Amino acid sequence: PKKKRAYVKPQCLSEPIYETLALACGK
Amino acid sequence: MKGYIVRNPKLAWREVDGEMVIISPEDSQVHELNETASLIWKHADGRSLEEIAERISTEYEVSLEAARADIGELVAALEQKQLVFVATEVKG
Repeated sequence: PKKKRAYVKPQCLSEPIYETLALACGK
Repeated sequence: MKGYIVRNPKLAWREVDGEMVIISPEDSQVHELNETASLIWKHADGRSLEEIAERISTEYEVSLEAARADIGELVAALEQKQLVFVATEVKG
């Protein structure tokens, strides 16, 4: 039978855009 | 499980390595969905929550009941963040 994939509870992580950009530019 | 889920059309989103990254310009937030949540997001095009729960339980090792509960929880969070809208009926 078709093998099912391992289940992980669906989640949404949110944060301000500037924090993501700050992390991306190494600050 | 009742209701139909639709994405907020004002958002920008893109899939990166199987996970969805959503930009909400109105409140300057970035939202990251894991793989399972990303699948739900992809199906948020007017389909019923029940249909999505069935799809999740078919594709993943999870019971329909557990999928329903988890989807309900996620959709409530997404709705609160104004990423999706849940309608009781779809207008044709």
